[in-house]
Amino acid sequence: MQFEITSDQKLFADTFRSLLEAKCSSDDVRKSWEEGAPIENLWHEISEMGALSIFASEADGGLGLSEVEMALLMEEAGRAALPEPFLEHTVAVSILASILSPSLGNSNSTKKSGDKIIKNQIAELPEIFEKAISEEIILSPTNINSEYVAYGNRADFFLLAHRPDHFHLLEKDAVTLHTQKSIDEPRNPTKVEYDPSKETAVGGDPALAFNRGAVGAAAICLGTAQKLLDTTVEYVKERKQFGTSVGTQQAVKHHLANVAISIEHARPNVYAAAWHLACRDDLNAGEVAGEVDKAVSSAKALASDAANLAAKQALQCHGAIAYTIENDLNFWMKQAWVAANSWGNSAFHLNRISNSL
Amino acid sequence: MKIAVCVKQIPDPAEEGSLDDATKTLKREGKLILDDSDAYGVEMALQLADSAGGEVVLVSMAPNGETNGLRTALAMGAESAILVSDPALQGTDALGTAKVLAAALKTASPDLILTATESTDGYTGTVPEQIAELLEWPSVTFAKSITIDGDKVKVERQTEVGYDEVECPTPCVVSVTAGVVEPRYPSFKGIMAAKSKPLEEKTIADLGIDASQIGWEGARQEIVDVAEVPAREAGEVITDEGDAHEKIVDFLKEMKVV
Repeated sequence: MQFEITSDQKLFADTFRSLLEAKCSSDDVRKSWEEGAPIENLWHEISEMGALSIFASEADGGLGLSEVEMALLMEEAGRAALPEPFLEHTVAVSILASILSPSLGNSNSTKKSGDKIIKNQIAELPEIFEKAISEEIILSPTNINSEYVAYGNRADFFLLAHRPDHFHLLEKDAVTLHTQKSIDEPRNPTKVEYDPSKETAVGGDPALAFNRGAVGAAAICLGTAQKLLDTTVEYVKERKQFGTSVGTQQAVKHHLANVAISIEHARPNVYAAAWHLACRDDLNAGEVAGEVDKAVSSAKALASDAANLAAKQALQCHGAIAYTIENDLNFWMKQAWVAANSWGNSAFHLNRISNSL
Repeated sequence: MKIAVCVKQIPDPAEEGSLDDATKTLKREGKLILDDSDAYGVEMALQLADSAGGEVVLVSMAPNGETNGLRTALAMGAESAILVSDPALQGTDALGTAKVLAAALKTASPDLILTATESTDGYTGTVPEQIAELLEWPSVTFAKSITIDGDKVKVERQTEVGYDEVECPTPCVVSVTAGVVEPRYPSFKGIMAAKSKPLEEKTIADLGIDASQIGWEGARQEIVDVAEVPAREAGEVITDEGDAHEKIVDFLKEMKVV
């Protein structure tokens, strides 16, 4: 049995990291925040690499990959503080992929309930899907546990989980948007007002989409936490007090060791949750039904805690400078706080595990 | 047109390297990656193949059969690769490297050979011209731009003051200056496709090379000593007594900056 990340998966992640290091530097992120605009050409480059089509089948021009690859890419997105709706769009593409090719995506709960598979009325769905995997349009989904859509200002189409059993697909002109401010400024959380109808219902599996979003957000938490730790370790080596690096003091290094432990504890859980999702049909069919939800919730709870701890200790170990907008650390701290709370926070997921026992 | 690109797989410069105490050469035990300076040659070749038609073949050598860096270049879009892999290659110097690569290149029968100007881990900068000499082909160095024009190539050759416009009949060897093109990132599809692209491994016996010409035995270069770079001396601190600006200007004049 293959327990390690494969060489191809490693190369996907390394290549994506190289792209983001070159095109999504902290200067680029700062400019994007300050100007309220996407980083020029970045979405195009992400699309050219193929990262928008991981859930599309090879027959549909995609890569036919799984949640494992998604998690690896999201970890890199977190490390770069990518100010783009990458997770949201990826989850939305996965929903459409599963609607268009049911074998790709619907979880067992949907398959058991035939009435929940809705015959969608939107003839343009294949065209919308094709445009979504080739960067022409951006999709944003709600999740069943939140009223808000992230990056609502960027979306061309919304996939709205009207009830736990299906989505509605609406173009931005057909909805009313109420955008809120977020501390993670580019996110623009948006409440979407819309009139659901038979014509807008497209089916899909909100429970599966939520699990994918939670694993993706957990991976973003991991990447963010690792970046915060790496940056802070460098800082405490350089910063000197009383003639020595502050990092040599136990009060500092123990904090950072705890962050490292927290990340290393969360990481295999996130990869395991991604693997559970990728193998969900086999797992749900066997004696371990319900394990997928538990794996996802364990991962998100641990990764959220790691991100929150990393942000807290990075701030503590940097001192007051980290509070300033001029210091780049604030992008990652704010991303950590938001990612830890999106797609269910630690308490939500611990509660979900508790209810399943 | 068939374009061959010489590529080297080197230890990741992002990781701290170490030297072998006995041979004073870089240890190459871990994963090897595509040398960044070769990525420019690969990109240039892919652009030429796109515009003029043709294919790109990679040629490399490594003692331990490592293919990771070649897979990256295949993922960028090269069609195939030849890897000369043989334990006897351990310790090969620049001329020995050129002999092996020239022999491997002959088997590919290219119309044009591109190389980097020098590798990131060796910096001898002599291999491209040695290959050209061994093949008895013309060679152009430091190319910043290449266009194919029938049976010749037009090259803008970077110099200290600008560039020369040079024409050279094919087949020929052209070394490409780093930074003149932006190497593409491999696409995920390219990474998946690279697995099924032909990667031919050859030994020195396959190429008819005498083992005494390569490796430690054949090396004409010897690393006699390796020393730490001297620590930078502390700069001069000027206390301003009203004339600091004059001292700074004098310093800059001395440096011929102003």
